[in-house]
Amino acid sequence: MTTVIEARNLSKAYGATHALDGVSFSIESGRIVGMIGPNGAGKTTALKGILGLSDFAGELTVLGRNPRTERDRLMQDVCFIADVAVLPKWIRVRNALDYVEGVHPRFDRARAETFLSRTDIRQGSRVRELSKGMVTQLHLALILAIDARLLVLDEPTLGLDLLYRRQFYDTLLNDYFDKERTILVTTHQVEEIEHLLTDVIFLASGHIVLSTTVDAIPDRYLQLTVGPDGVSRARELHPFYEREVFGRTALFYEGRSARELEPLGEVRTPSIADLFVAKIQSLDARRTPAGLGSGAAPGPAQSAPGASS
Amino acid sequence: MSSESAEVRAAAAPQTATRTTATRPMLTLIKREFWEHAALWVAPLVVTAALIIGAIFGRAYGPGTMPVSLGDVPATPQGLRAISTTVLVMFSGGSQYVVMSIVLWFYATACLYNERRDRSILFWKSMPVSDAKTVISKFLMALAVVPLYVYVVTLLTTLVASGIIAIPRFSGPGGLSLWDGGAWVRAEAYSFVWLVLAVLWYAPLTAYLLLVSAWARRNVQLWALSPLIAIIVERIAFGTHYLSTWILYRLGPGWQSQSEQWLERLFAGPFYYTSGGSSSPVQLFAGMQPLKGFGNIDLWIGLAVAVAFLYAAVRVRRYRDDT
Repeated sequence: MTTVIEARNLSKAYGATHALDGVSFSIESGRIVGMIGPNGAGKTTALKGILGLSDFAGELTVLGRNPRTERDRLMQDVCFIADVAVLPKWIRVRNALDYVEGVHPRFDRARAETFLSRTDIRQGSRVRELSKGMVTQLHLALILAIDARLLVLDEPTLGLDLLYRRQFYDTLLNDYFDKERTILVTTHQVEEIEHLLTDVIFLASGHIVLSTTVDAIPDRYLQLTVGPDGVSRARELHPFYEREVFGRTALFYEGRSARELEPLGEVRTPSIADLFVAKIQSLDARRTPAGLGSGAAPGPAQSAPGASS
Repeated sequence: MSSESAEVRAAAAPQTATRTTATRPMLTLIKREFWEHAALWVAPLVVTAALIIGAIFGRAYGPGTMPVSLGDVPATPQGLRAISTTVLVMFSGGSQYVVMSIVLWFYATACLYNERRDRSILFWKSMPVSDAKTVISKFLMALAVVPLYVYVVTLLTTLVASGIIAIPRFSGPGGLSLWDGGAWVRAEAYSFVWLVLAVLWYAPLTAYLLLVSAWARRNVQLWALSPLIAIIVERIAFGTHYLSTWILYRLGPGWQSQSEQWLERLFAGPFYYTSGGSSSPVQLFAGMQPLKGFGNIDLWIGLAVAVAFLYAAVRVRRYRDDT
């Protein structure tokens, strides 16, 4: 296992706002890492740095290269899909294949054509004639035919319907991912990818809130659900976040053992989506002591992405 | 994982790592430009179609017999053929290059701007193509690929148009043929040299437009024309015209060597010939030394400026982030 991305003290400011504020993380090969955060958390800024698309302060090495100065060579081993809308509207499918074949030494045209033949996309069509879902399929066909070591996806399924979203990730896992490759993905729709991820990085306001492997979550975080009469006892164990759902209260603990909590109610490992909401909301609560709209103090449940349980 | 499969994987790894196919990046980038900017290859063909239709009409309704004289000068068949062939080449070239200049202006201002506006730059930048290579490919398009293409199209156009004109309207010895191979070769050779000179002379303008295209957030045409605004400001604020003198010099046909007024001759072609008082068709090019244009130091200074603009355009494309 080798280190694919090594970021140390990454910072970037747009005017007075810090999109990234001294962020450090590293990503090993063979992982599927979800970078998750609310809008403006710095996800896209971090990805742009990794891809050599924008400048930043701090140290960053991707596959042993400096993305600031070696973007073109780096892109032989890195693929990325920014979002569905970036394929040029005027290009024909055939010419898109010609182009990638002409500039990318690791592109396997036959593979891309095989993938395309399973779709309704015709090679004579222009991108502007394709539906949004088809454009994504085309982009995926181009990317999957490239023998790259790192795949970066920035909100890859934004604006797609459920069918295409599901298909996108299934294809990615079945046809692409293996132990030599690494996938770094950002998305709002956490539930949709949480079963794929091996690692998560939670970002908020330019800081890392949590960086962990998914396997380590059960040992560290627990979710306890209690009825109204158990809440006060549950609070004595210092949950970092709580949320009321259908008259019951879900409390989130860090560093507690299941044995401590089990007498109080129903204990389980929080889903990544729930953990994300808990972490971000508790952070907001600490910043605004009045507790405006926060779930750390008892109050009505916030409707947030992933608030499904 | 068993150690056996690890070995298999280790043996296979170097092969997968080196599994690369040959690429032709510059050729691909050039083709890409023609895909996106179809006007680059369509416009010359439209002009050609117009010229050929003109030739057909000219043949159908033009003079059917040999004129006796051109102005005061007695016309000889040889002189008439030479002059008409030359005028045909110059007129075809003139029309093509005027249209080409307009098309290239819009191409140069659009090529690095559109990709940011539609965010496709994120796709282009996901490919292993450096910003320098991208910018150079667009510069080469305007500097060499399109002019050469237009030159070849024009050359073929003159051959076809000559063929049409050369068809005798009446059979028999009275039929009029207006084709002179020697004059054609000479005129084509001269226009090629002039084309090369002109393209090099305007290279800093091309590079400037590319820089504007890479830099402007919006209103790219307005920014492209900003030097003209600067001229007006200079006039009003300082009452001087250094800037306008200099810019107009760069925009003008400074690439012709100073002893020549070939542009005047070109437009006055037939009249020059007839008023020159000589029946020799060579007269049209007499004393012209187009190669002297390469001795103009301003041409080379301009190229150095063009390189500086290009470098700036590469830097801007690398670091500008407005997607």
